[in-house]
Order: sequence, then structure tokens, then C-alpha cells
Amino acid sequence: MIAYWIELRRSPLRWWLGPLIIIDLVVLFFGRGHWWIGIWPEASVATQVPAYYFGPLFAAVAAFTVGRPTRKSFDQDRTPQAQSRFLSETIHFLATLTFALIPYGIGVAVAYGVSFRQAGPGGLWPAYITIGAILLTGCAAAGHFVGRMLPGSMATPVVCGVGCFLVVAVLGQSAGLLVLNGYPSLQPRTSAITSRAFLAFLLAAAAIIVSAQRHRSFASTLERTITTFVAAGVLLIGFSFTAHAGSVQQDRAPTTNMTCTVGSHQFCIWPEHQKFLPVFQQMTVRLDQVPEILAAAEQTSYEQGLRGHEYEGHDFSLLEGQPFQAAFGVALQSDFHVPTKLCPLPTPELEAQRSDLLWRLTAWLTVRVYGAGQPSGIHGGISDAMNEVVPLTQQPDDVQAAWVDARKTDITAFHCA
Amino acid sequence: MTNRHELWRIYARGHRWHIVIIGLITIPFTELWLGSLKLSLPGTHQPLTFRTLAPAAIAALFVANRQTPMAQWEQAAARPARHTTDWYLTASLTAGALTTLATQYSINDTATAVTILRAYAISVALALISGKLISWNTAWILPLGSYFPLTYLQTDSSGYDRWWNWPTQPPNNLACWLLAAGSLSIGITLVLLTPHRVAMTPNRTSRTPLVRTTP
Repeated sequence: MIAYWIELRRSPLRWWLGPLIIIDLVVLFFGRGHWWIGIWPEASVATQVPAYYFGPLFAAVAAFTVGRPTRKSFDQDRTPQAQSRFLSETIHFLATLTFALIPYGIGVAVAYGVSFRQAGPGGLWPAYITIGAILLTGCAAAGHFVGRMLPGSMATPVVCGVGCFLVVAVLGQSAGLLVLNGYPSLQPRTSAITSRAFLAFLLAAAAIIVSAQRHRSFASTLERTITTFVAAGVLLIGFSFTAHAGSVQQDRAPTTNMTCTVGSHQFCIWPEHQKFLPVFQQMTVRLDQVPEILAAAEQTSYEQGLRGHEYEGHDFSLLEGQPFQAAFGVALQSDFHVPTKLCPLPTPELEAQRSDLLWRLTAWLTVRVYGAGQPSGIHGGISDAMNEVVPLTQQPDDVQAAWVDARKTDITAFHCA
Repeated sequence: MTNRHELWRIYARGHRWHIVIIGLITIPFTELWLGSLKLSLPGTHQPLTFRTLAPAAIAALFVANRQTPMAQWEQAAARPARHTTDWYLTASLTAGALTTLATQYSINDTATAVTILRAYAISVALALISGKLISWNTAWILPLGSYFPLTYLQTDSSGYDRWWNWPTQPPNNLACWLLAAGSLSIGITLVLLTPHRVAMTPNRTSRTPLVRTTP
């Protein structure tokens, strides 16, 4: 334990703790917005996003620091040490990992602190936080191993850092090294995360054992060869075990435990999204003000996953905390009492004109329900009609009704093929 | 002349000339094998390929090569050795730039080649600044650290590229070229700002003698 504290105190990484904490907080609060605050699973996923960058960084850093004794010709001085070589390797690795986990842990604490008030009961989901810690451990272990084998101060850290970055950037999401989507309709799969944790442990153990036996004075050539092959074999088994464990996320079972608004048209959302309930309640109130338009619309809108994933294309999602899609979904369900909606027209140009008119009606109803124009982060869809319908929704109801009637008349004026 | 050649030979041997050669060979092979790899990162709203980030690693490798176990001895080197140091770095970086340009021009189009060359120039500047301010063997910190803003903060809240995002901005973007010129100027100035030159600056208010003499 004393040696561990000495390693922590003497490591040059201690000077980088401040910048690393700042980077962690920048990742949390900039780039992806603040929408995750107050949603426990999304906040948990947000805390492990810095690992995307800390993983490759600590692969490079571990490779750099572990080669220091060799570069400074200190290896000979360590030969007669009383302490076990395995222990000193373990301490060195743990010290590096500690400097990775401190800013990561501070990020987790800050995410908890800012979410606490809005999110209500519950807490961060530990499984998502573990995924980030697993990546940090794996990258640091890979860097430790390569740095001990090739103790250079330039090429080795660059190759480790860039290599790890490429693995994370190319395979990160498909291989489940990290997750970006903590939607409440998904839940972490414990078996897959346990297998990844086990693989990270094996990687770290292999890096430490093979590194400790690197010098002839600590093991014979035969012993080193056997250890290397055994470590490679165990790692292979670990990789295959992880590959068969499947995805780190799975669909959550449908539930009746949902939070719904009160009104003639209900919006039902996941309990984890309860911070959006006031927004949906306002949307319900606005919907009640345009009842005749929505006669054909369903009386309840469900959030994705609440009724099961067979309704995925039908139910709305709050992706990136955006209720706009729910308003758009309700508008899309309404047929505006236009009977010729699906009637085929003679030419594609006429079809396009009628679609445009229908889109403008949909855009009007969306803005009316949502209470504002399309958010800047959402592109496409009905964005072209926004310039016309947003000022219209500020007009008195009779003006809006006249505009809707005029559009409906235009639509019904088309002659079918 | 013979002495100069001998100096170059000795310097190249001490400064791992093979790393420069490996780096130059790596450029076309990286482009061929990994250049078109699509990177999927948290903040990337637009597809980003590895070829736009690879120059940072190459530049870091060449600049970090200035580090040597003989660094303390080289502090006391005479003018020819100092010239060799500067020219060795200039030659390796220029060779890297030409190889990058030739590789990109032959495999991709001119616009991509110019964009990658600009990225290489900025990465060289970052490596020079990092090497001078921290240490030459950690010259990779700022170039590789630039991966973070370039990928995570590449777009604003409306989804548009930020003006400083040099890998994705078009080749004729003036702001990025000014950034390249400005950062290279800072990097080169820092390298030229040796303790010797600082001490010899004529307009310094308190002039520190190079060699302290007792009165």
C-alpha cells in the first residue's frame, strides 16, 4: 500500500489531473447538450462518454509511463529489489488506472449531482458506468503491455494511443465497448457486461504477468514462453466468451408502470422521463383546443417501448430529450378529414403538390401542439413549411381555421386518376 | 564538406533516422489500409474518415524525434550542430509533407490532398508547441489531443462545422489557412527561441549574461 501511495505521489500524471477533470466536464456539458440531465439512464450513459477519449489517452500514457524505468536505465537497479516483480508491476498499473478513474469518477459524481433534483427517486445505473471503467482498464492494460515490450517514449505511445482510438472509433459501438444511447426502453445486459469486465481483468492480468517476466533475471526463457502462450490462450478464450455474450443492451419489457398526462388526449411516457411531464401536460392542453381536427387521431400516444417494441414505428420517442417528435406524431396521425388523402393522382407533379399541402397542414398542427417551431437541432421533415406556419399559429383561431379550410379545399380540388 | 556530412550522419544516427523512414513509409500504407475507415464517435454528426486525423500522428512522430538521450549535451553544441538540428527537423517534416501530398494526390483528389496537407501543417505546429513547452519526447500530446475537439466539438448546436474544424472545412477556407499560418508561426518562433537567442535579444530591459562572472 505504501508503494502504491509513493507511485501515486511520484507519477507525472498527477499534474494532468486538473486538465483531465476539465476535459471530462467538457464532454459532459458541451457537445451533446444538457438534455440528459434529470434522466437517470441517459445521465449514466453520459458519464461513460469521456471514456471514448480517456481510453486511447491512457493507452498512450500507460505506454509512456511504464517504459520510464527502462529508458532511465533503472531496470538493473530493480533486479535485487525485495518486492515481488509482479507486485511492482501491479502497483504501477493500478497507479496509472487510478489517474484514469479519478476524473472519470468525478464526472460520475457531477452527473449525479446535476440530475438529482430533476430526476426524482432512483439513481445512476451502475452497469453503464461500469462499461466506461472496463474500457479504461482494457486500454490501460494494452498500453502497459506494449509500453513494457517496446519502451520508447515517442513511437510507442503514439501507436498505442492512435491504435486504441481506432479500435474505439471503429468497433466501439458495434462491439459494445461503449454505448451512446441510454433510452429508457433499453436496459443493460448484465451477462454481456460481466463478460467484458472479465475480459478487461484478464487483459490487465496478462499485461502484468507477461511484463513482470520480461527480464531473464526473473524467469527462464522456457518459463516466459509458457507464460506468454498461456496468457494468449486465456485471452483468446476471454475474447470468444465476450463475443458470444452478445450486445450490452437489450429491449426492456413492456410495462404498465408509466406516467401519463391528464386530458382528452393522453401522452404516456417512461417514469425515467418524468421531467418532461409538464411539457406533455401543456401539449395535452393545446391539443384539447383543436379537437375537431383530431377526430380521427388516437386518444393516447405512447412513448417507444412502453407497449412493446412491435409498435416501434408507431410510438413517439424522446430521442435526445426532444418532445417535438411526439407533437409531430400526433399531427401525422390526423387525416384532417380529407377523404382523398390516399387517392392516386394522374401525374407525379400533382402528387408532389398535394403532398406539400398535406405537409403544411401537418406542420401547422405540429407547431400548434408543440407550442413552438421546429428546434434547430432537428432537420428535414416539415422544416420547409416552418416559415409559413409558425407566424400563422400566433394568429387568432378563426384565421387559422380559415387557413386550414383553404388548404383542405385545395387538397380536395385535385381530381383522381 | 566532409565534416558537414559526418555531422549529419552522426546526428541522424543519434536521432533515430529509421523512425523517419518508417514514418514516411507509413504514410501511403496508412492511407491505403486505414484512410477510408469511418470513425463513429459521440460528437461526429458528419462521417469522418481516418485519413483526416492520420497526419497528426505522423507529425507528432517526426517532431518527437528531436528528443535524444544526448539532449543535455546538445544544449552546449556549437553553431554547425545547431544548424544540423534545425535542418534535420525541417528536412524530415518537409519529406513528410511531400509524401502526404503525393499520396493523397495520387489516391484521392486535389481538394482532399490540400485539406490533408493543411491538417498536417497544423499538426506540425501543435507538435512543435507541445515539444517546446512540455518536452520533445511528449510532442505527441497536443497533436493527438486535438482529436478530442476535432471529433467531439466539430459541429455547433445547429449541426454546422465550426470554423476551426480543419479536417472537414473545404480546402479554400481562409480561416483554417490563417489558423495554419498562425500556429506554424508560433511553433517555429518557439523553436527558434533558444535560451541563447533570448539572452542575446538587444532590447531586453535586464540583460542576463550568458556566462556569469564574479566581480
